[in-house]
Amino acid sequence: MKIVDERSQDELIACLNQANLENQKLREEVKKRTKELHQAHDQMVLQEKLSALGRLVAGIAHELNNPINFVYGNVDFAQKYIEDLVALVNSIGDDPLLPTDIKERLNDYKRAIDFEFLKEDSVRVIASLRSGAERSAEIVRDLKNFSRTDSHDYQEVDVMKQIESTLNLINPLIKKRIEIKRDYDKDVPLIYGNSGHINQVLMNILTNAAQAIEGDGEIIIQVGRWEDRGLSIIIADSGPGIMDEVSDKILEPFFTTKEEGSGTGLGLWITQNIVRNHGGKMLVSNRPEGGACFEIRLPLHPPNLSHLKK
Amino acid sequence: MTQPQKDKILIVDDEPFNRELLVRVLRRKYQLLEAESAEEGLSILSKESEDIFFILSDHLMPRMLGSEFLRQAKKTWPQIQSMLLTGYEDDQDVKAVKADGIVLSVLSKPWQRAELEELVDQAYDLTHDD
Repeated sequence: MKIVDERSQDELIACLNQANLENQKLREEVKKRTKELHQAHDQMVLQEKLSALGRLVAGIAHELNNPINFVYGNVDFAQKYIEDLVALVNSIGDDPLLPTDIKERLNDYKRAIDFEFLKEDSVRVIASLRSGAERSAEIVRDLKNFSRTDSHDYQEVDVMKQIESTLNLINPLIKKRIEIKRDYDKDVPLIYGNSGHINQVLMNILTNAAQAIEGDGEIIIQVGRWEDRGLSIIIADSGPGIMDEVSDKILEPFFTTKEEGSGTGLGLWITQNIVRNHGGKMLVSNRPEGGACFEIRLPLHPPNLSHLKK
Repeated sequence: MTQPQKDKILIVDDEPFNRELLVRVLRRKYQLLEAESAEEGLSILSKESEDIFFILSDHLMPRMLGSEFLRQAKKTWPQIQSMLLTGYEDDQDVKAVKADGIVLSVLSKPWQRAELEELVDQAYDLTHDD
């Protein structure tokens, strides 16, 4: 009787242990699923925010387009009108038949308005108006390019063009302290993708690269083929590189080494998600000579489109 | 009875400075009519369609979009060519009027003067075969 009891007790303990183990597994599973759910939720919220920002930027860019249009278009006329008026004044002054008293009055007037200076300076005035209008038009073009995130439409994307737009946008970070070295293959193919999302990828990595460099430095951008599957974009910087102790974490959401308030910790995580959604890969490493190196590989065509709409 | 001149261009834009600029660019070659809305544009067309060979229209205007205006105009006056001047090249309606052959072309703002003049001259040649 006692033996039986002992045996059933052992069985009971084994059973309990087994149940505990199962329980533990389930708890871990729930934890894992909850974490995934949170991440998916965060990504959704973030994408909402980004698309709202995209709409705002696009709206501002379009509103600026009209004034830029008529400033830009009128510069030529301002120049022509001034040239014509100057020529007219000169031809009157040079006319040998002009009575002396009128000629003197004309010269007095020209002195009073500093005619010679005005004539020379108007050239500079026009040049700076033109340059301002052209620069504003360029900024608007970049903003429009950048804000094309609202649609899930896939289109042909010219990666090199987008790199240049992004570099223009982050120019305040680069200024004269960072040299950009470009190494682009000749026959880089267009890829099929979401142009706004790819802009976001380039923006995130290039901004990180520029911010990683303290003082003077360089960013190297290489674009070439990724086997026969697509293209590879390598962005390397001369900053301090990625420290060993954080290398596992940099792709996690909300991880940041930037000062509080200056980074959300979402940039690289979003970047990685976008690259994945396009069926690509992101490889992160340090250059042997120091500095971080990000390689983005994107296929010519993204995989199953329905997958993105889930 | 005299033949209609057919050398007028209708400019439709709610931004007066843009209309002024278009007039400045084209005034030496063509006669210009201005409307500050799609409704005013349609009303001018209904009176002077005989003399008008081309419409230059903005897209984003209150009450009626340029694309819708040009669609309506094409239906009633199919002989008149048109062009949209807009910063909204990616807009679905803008893409549609181009794809449907309603407009001759879509010109992005800010436009280049030489390109605009060339497109207007092309439209003139197209509508003045005889």
